[in-house]
Parts: sequence; C-alpha cells; structure tokens
Amino acid sequence: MRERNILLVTILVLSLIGVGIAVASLVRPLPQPASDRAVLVDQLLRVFFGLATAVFLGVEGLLVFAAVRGRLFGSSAAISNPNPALELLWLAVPAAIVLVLSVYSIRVLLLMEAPRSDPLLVEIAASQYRWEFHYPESGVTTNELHLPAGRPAVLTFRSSDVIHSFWVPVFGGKVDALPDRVTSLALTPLRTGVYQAVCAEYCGADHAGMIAPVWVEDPAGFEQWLQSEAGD
Amino acid sequence: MSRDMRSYLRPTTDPAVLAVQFLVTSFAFFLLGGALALGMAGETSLPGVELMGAEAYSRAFSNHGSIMIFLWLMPAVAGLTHALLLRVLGVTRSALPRLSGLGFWLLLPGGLLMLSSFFMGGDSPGWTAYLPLSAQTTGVGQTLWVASLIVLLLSLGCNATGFLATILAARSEKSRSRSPFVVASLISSTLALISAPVLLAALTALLVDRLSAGPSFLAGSLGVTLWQNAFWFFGHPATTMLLLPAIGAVSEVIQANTGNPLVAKRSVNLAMVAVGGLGLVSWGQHMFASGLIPAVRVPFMLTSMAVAIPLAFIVFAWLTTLWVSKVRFSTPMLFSLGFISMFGLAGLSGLVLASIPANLQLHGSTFVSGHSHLALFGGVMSGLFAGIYYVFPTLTGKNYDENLGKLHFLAHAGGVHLAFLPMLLIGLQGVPRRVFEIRPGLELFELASSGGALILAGASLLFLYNIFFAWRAGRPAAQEVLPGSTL
Repeated sequence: MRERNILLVTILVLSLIGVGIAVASLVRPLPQPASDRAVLVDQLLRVFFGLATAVFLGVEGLLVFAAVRGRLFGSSAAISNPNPALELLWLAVPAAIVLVLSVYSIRVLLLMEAPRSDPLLVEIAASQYRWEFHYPESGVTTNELHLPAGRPAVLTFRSSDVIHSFWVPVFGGKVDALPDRVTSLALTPLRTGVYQAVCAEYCGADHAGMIAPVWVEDPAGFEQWLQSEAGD
Repeated sequence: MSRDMRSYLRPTTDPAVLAVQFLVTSFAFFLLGGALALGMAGETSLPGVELMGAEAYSRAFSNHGSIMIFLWLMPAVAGLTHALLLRVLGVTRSALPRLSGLGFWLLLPGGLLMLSSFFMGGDSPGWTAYLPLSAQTTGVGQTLWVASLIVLLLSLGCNATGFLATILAARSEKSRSRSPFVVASLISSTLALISAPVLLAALTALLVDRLSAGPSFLAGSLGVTLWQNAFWFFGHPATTMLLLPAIGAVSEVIQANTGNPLVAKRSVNLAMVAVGGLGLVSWGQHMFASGLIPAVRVPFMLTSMAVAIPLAFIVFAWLTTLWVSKVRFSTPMLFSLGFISMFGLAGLSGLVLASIPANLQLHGSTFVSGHSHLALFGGVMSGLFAGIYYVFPTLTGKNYDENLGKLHFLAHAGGVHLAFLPMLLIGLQGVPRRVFEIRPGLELFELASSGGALILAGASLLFLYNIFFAWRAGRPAAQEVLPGSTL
C-alpha cells in the first residue's frame, strides 16, 4: 500500500513537471519578440508561466482531494500537531521556488541593463498627447521612431507635462517619461518591421490616442531614412 | 435578535448593529461601483460600442477603483470584523465603542463626497491620482475626490483603532485571542494605523495645493516621486489589510466545517505576521518603471516575492486541515475552497509582477488589472462572502437558503474566472489599462471578460436577494454561539 502511494505521488509530481515544461515551451507570452530585451523577458515569462501552471494544478489537485478525502475514505488520517518536519517542508518548497525565480530575475535584469557599446542615441520628448523623437547625432526630429536592426539603441525620455510611459510591447519593456528627470531604456532591435509605441501611464483624456509608429529597418534603410529626413 | 428597523438608522455603539450598518452601506456602494464596471465592460464588449466619451470613461475607472476599495471592501471588511471579532473573542463589548461608531458616521459623508465627484465633469486621473496630472486636472470633481479620501482614511483609522483596542483589552483570553481571525484583525488594523497617516499627509498637501493658488507643497520634482511613495506606502499594504481578515475568516470557516482546529495554528499566525510585515515594505514594486533608484529595486523585488512563502505556508496548513477531516460542504466552506483556488491565481500572477524584468513589460497593462481583480474579487470578496454566510445565522438569528448560497458560489467563481483571466491575456498582448479601444484580434477576450462581469453582477444580486429575503422572512436559526469558535 505504502509503496503504491509513493509510486503514485512520484508519477503525479513528474507529470506536473512535464505539464510545466510543456507550457513553458509552448506559450508565447510576448506577441513577437523584436529586441534583445524582449527575447530575455519572453524566456523569463515562459519559465514563470510553466512553473505557475504546475504549481496551480498541483495545489488545485491537492485542494480537491483533501476536501473529499475524508468523505471518501473516512477521517482516519491523523497527523501529529504540531509537526515541525511538515512545517519545515511547507516553508522550504515555496522558499526554494521564490529563490530560484529571484536569482533568475536578477540575472535577466543585469543582462538587460548591461552597458551597450556604440549605441544610437534617441532623445524622446513626451507631452499630452504625442511622442517626439530627436536624433542628436544627425539633428533630425520626427514623429516616428526609426531604429536600425542589430545596433544597440539608448532611448532617453523627458516629459514636458505629466507622467507618460513609453511602451513598445514587442521590445519587452517600458519606462516612464517624467517631468523632473531623464529616464532611459536600452535595447537592441533584432527584427525588422513596423510596430507601435503606446502610452502606458494614464495621462489625460486622449491617453488612448498617444501612439506612434516604430520602424525597425536594416542599417542601410535606416541611413537612407535618416538622410532623407535631414535633407528636408 | 429581532430589532426595530429604526435602530439601524441611528448612531450606535452596538457591534451587531454596526456590523449591519457597515455591510449594508458598503454593499450599496458596491452596486454603484459595479454599475460603473458594467459601463466600462459594455464600452469594451464589442468594437464600435460607444456608451461614453473619453472623459466620462476616465471618471468611470477612477471612481470604480476608489469606490470598490474605499467604499466597498474597506467598510465591508470592517462590518465583517464587527460581526466576527467579539464573537470569536467571546467578549460582549468593544473597548472603544464610540470611536467604532464614529467610523461608520465618517463613511457616509466620505462616500457622498466621492460619489458627487463623479458628476462634476472633467477628466479624472485614476484611483492612484499620480502627480502632476492630479494637481493639474481642472474642475471641482478631483478636489472633492481628494477631500473624500481624507474623510474615508479617518474612518479607517477609527475602525482600526477600535478593533486594536478591543483585541488588546481581551488579550488575557489566551486561547481565543490567538484565533486566526483575531490575529488577522490585529495585523490588519496595525497596518492601517502605520500606513494611512502617510497617505493622509500627502492627500492634505494635494488638497491645499488644489484649493490655493499660492506656494505649493507638491510642486516640481518633489511631488512626482513623493506622491508615488506616499500613495503606494498605503496602497500596497491596503491589499494586505483587506486580505488578512479574509484569510482569518476562511481559517475560522475551515475550523467550523471540519470540526478540527487549524493544523499548525501558531505557525499560521506567525505566517500572517510575516505577510503583514512584508506587505508594509513592498510598496516600491509599483514603481519599477517609474525611475525608482536602481539600488532599491532588487530589495523591493525580494520583499514582494518573499510574501509568497508565508502565503503558501498558510495554504499548506489549510490543505492539511482539510486532509485530516471530514469536510462539510456548506456555503461558507465552498467560498473558502474557492478563495484558496482563486487567490492562488492572484498570487501566481502577482509573483510575475514582482519580478522586475517581467514587471517592466507588464506594468500599466491590463495584466495588472487582471491580477488585482483576481486578488480582490477572487480573493478578498470570496473570503468576505465566506465570512458573511458563516456569521449570518448567529448575527441575525435567521437561516439563509443553502441552495441559493451554493448557486451564488458557482456564479461567483465562474464570473471571476471569465471576467479576469482574459484581462491577463489581453495585457500580455500589449494592451495598456485605462484605454477603451478594442485591439483588433482581441475581440473574443474582451467579450468574454465583459460577459464575466455580467455574470459576477448577477451572482452579487443573487447574494443580496438571498441575504435580505432570509433576514426578513428566513427560518429561525438556533445558533447563539458561532460554530467552531471554541476550537
């Protein structure tokens, strides 16, 4: 009987781990990762969701079984109370999970915010309800963000009125544009395409309309665009 | 226990009357906050639906948030505490009865001030009222909103002081004063008294700024960061101070419906202390994307994540208590089981938001709304219902209809999942919160979420019908003493 229970528990735990791994490899937390940050965040979220699925299904199974066990098999399962060994296990399991997730998160944070060599600088001015992009190297100022794929970019932000928040979901991160300080977001775009920047901090009645197109182009296309803008 | 209807309309020091006053008033406000939610759900149900303009939408989400937190959940938890605390403690009198009564009579003017702000027009900056937007927004509506919050925090302070005094006065009752609900109330009240004064000071500064044209307290760079810190120093533990009484009520219900004392009760109490302590030092997790000093981000991440450890411990203690018992599946028990499951979803999505890199992606998206609604509706509201059904027969001397109660549970659980899980998915797709336009490709999720809100509304009406019908014409209940309170 006891051996059979141990076998059953082992099979259940292994299948939960299997489901967790399956979820982690199948889910697409980010719509279409288009920068180095986004790839890292996508992986991190997959690990979180895989683990969360396994934990949730495990707890849910335990909950249902624990609730009906007494009615099915009679309430004979006495345990000694207090039970230090059991309580230690209740602490150790979540503590281990939290520790792993914390260390992993810190690692991803360090990778995401590592200094980048020779970045393209873009100064972004936010105001109700528009984004303005300024390229200090070439003196170009526009209403759309263009970035070359493969070259690191450092975007700096400043707001001239209230708080806004610059979010290109496929880039995997956001930062607030504040009226009193300059903030920044570093990333390397990886995939060419046209995306959208939205405002993620409520900034007034037209908040939902504060959007700007974001172009990631191959370096030659980017240079061409920059020159045509500078020529205007 | 049959009282004259008029006794509920008069100032009182009787905790049983206060419990009813708080619960009835808070659920009246809940209906208003819920109506605003249905308005928003209608706006985002189908593409092309246009129920309100951008400014009205902003007032709807701002008032929805502050009504649900300050006019529904906080006073409803206060009502549940008035109903349960003395019974669990086994004492007959509050320690500061007049102060507790004042708590209720501050709720009414505070609530009316807040409701009036909705009708004053203009744009509204959300329940977080971030500066400088909340100082610049013109119109008397925002000023009334700030004033109402000051009154409501004073009401919270009266309630918390009263509960704390009652618990401390009864501390010689060794076994009863260590019941899970009592310990939960003790920590919850302490959190309120530590954190509310900070927001109260910031609100007072904002009110003076809005009323005077002279020198400003919160002008310039001081205001932007100081407000966020002051707001979340209260706003983050606010969830904890709502959650703990729900955890306490669920613990009492589990004891009453298993006939067994909670396994590892002492350690569960310590775990609740840890939840409260960590809740008090995690406020920075709301500011990861807001230019928070890099050096303090990781400590805030660690405290935010670590709260999962004592919460998981409490869940394990509940599961083990169920495991060794023969469970009676009464209505409050179903809500307690639902609490464990739905709060699990809230906790797991909260763990994602505590991680800095994940937070920088999902902060400000509907993922955050989904998480907070899972925590407040799946969590706190389920615990609240468990507690109300549990204490109802003892409080009113009447029995409610068990079948309707169970139907209420099914609708509530179904509504919570359908309304709030799609919000998580919509946020992952890159949709910011507080926008009323439907992103192409997400129509089905938006419709499901709006449908869930409708089911949740139906569930709540079912609850109110069941409770009020039972109260007026229910079968008499024999219970004089709260079942399980002596375990």
